[in-house]
Amino acid sequence: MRAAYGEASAEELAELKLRAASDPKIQAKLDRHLAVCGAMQSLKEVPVSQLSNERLREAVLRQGLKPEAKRSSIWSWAWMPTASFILVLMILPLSKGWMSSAEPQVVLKSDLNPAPVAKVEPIKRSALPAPPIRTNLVASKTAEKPVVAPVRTAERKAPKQDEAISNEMLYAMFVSAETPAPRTVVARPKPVVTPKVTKPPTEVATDAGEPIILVDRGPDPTTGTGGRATESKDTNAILVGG
Amino acid sequence: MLFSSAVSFLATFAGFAAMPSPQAKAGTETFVSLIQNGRTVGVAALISDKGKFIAHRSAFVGSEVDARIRAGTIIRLKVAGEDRVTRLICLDAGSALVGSWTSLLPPVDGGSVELQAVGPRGISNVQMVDDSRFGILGDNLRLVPLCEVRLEESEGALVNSLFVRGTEFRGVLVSSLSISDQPPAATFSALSQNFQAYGPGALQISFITGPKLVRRAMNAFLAGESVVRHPFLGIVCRNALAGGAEIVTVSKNSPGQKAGLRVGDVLVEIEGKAIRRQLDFARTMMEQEIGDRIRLVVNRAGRQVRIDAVVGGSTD
Repeated sequence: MRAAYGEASAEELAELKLRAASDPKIQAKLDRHLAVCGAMQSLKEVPVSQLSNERLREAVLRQGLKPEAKRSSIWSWAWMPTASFILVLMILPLSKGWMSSAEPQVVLKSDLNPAPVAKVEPIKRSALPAPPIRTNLVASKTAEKPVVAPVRTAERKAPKQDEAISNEMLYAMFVSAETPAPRTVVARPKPVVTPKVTKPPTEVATDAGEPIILVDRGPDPTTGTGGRATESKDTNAILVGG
Repeated sequence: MLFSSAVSFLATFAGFAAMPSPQAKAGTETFVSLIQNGRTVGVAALISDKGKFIAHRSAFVGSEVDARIRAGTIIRLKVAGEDRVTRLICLDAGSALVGSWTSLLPPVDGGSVELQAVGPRGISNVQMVDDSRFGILGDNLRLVPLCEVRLEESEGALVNSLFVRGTEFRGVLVSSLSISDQPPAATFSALSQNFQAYGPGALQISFITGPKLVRRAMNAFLAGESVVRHPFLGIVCRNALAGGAEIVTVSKNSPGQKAGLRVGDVLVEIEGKAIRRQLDFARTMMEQEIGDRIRLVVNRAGRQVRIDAVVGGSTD
């Protein structure tokens, strides 16, 4: 186990290598694992504590037991108005941008007369080419992604179980062949999540996707395809019946 | 597997004669060529063992059309039904059909995205890329589901075509975007530019009828109805600034008028579903069936009013 976590002493590692030498497969796995361990430890971004449950637990306990820093009674609240002001300055321009893109824009081509075939602007879609489009119709997708009604999540997603046992699996990769005795896997303690009790939102008739709206302008005799001459409009300006 | 077999069968379609359906037994037929004034103008597909065909309204003019079956025999088809929204028509061969025939089935949701467009000019392979498009068709400004399809051919390949997936009839063309004809490449530079236009960037983009719409039309045709009726309240709505669908028109003697809906009412809920704009109303109406009793909630002069209405039917 200590070897798996890269904590084994030189003697322990030598003994493990000696035992693994009897089986080429185990030897190969051990070599590969040691190489991975070495590579992981060489990553400076990865805290050492992540390689060991014990170290992680110690780190948490150590930080949790630190005495809370005393703060000045004045500065404990003085930063709040400043932070609020900065936050408002940041949010205002962003919200203006969101509002302007809240409603989708569908390309409008209304000059069907006198020409029976509408010359339609190219569809604004990144996946499409921009060749000159001669069309009997039209339709264009909105330039911006529509705003989706926010739906609150009732409960946070719990961490995956397999993340907690990754070290065990790592160890079993090369040790299990030698130690067939069953092991008890202790999962990393999960953070306690208090489920939010929220009222389910009213079901909305629309879905999240913004439709491409083709507005029928009657048959188009010029193409002979049986298609309809169509135009597209801002979805806000469209009249719908039913 | 299914696709390849379908293509192999479809590839037998030649000379604009009738062709077997993709999974039909050898010798059976499903399609006929429509002929008017000595010219092949479209294709019709059998949808019933009783000799009913389905075709695109724009294929020919009038109430009758000649059809050529594989053996070269010409039979007369009469228009027996029409859907003014999808522009599908039902053609009746009466007792003129002889031989072994296999009919196409109504479309089902989901499944393969590979379709074939069967038209008087031949067969094109088509890829369905999105089945959640919408269009507003007909005099009643009806919002209908459409499917976006793409193919690597010009729109001419879709002239009066029928779209087929295996043994399913998927519908007809509603409209398409076409790429303008490019002049012949006279220089290597121009040739290379044209070459770069090939591939996904040069796909033809078209919209065909959605499966729900096609099923409704086919069911009406198979039931012997001469017209196809769609759910209808008889109102036209626009987007309300404060949210909801504001009624701007209420047709006389329509189900909406009989239920008490008025111009200026703002629909905010239908059958428990919030209506936040006019498109929500249109989509909700798409899901209704004729004869359904639905509960509407409208804002009228600052107060909410609950109204029960019975969904009627309209041909457009």
